[in-house]
Amino acid sequence: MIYKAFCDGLERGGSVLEWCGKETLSLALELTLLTTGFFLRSRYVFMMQNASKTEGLPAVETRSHSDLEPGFVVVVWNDPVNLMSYVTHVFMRLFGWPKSKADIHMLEVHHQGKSVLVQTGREKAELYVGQLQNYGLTATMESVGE
Amino acid sequence: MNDLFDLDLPCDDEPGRTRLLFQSVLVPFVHFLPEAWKLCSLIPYSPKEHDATDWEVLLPSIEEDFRERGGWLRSATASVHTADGISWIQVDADGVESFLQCLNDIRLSCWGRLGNPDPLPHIEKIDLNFRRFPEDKKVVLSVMELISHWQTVIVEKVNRFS
Repeated sequence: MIYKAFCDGLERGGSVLEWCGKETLSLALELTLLTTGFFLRSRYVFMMQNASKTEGLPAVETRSHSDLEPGFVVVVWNDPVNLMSYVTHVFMRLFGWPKSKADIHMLEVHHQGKSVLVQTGREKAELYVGQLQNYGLTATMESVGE
Repeated sequence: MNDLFDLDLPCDDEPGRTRLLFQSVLVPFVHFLPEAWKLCSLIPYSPKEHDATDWEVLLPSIEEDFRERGGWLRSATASVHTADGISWIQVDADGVESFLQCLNDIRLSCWGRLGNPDPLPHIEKIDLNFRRFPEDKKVVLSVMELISHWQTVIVEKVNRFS
């Protein structure tokens, strides 16, 4: 609308100020200046709109880039010394699993020699390996692609 | 407490405090634990096929945690309380996990001193042959068995309601 008023003013041969008025011209100039920063401004508005939409929703966990690429599995290997109940306890403690799930993985380690516990990103996988080793279990991580 | 060991989880009066109980006859054994722990070492890691762990980065923090556990055990077992034939050491909420890890460190160390037997010898299965065990290994095996028992009791009590 501002653009139309501007063009009409020019066609009639009057000054821009005459036809548009100071206020309208000011808005037109502002619009022109803002055009260069349009994407930044629209992005900000978009973010604010989204922020208002997500109010009240549960917070989304922020993850590092490597955790968004769950390309590693954590493996625990069998040994003859760690108690079965202890291994189950460690799985429950570290992964927050119920006893039934921890028992399944413990028995898998016991009978099949190893168990894949979780698939996650490199950083988290290394954290788990360190924690499992600290509990005295033999743990490694493997790239999913291998 | 009829058993050798027990675990008294925190009550409302003392939230966050846990008592690791044992028969008073075992006080020397508990005082012996930090000494036994000094013989522990991290089990040398044997690389597995396809292992992608960056051990150069990870091992220093594992070794640091290991050393801290040793200090924690010395501190936790420094004051043993006794009343009515029952003894205990008192720990905070994370202390139970630390204690379990220390016990396991000692068990793993004992296993190494027995020559990493596979399968593991158990006293109840070798009682008739126990006399044939070398003297030093009898002690190691006994420590290992006692620790197994204590670990089992703690894990059972901690996970009772899980």
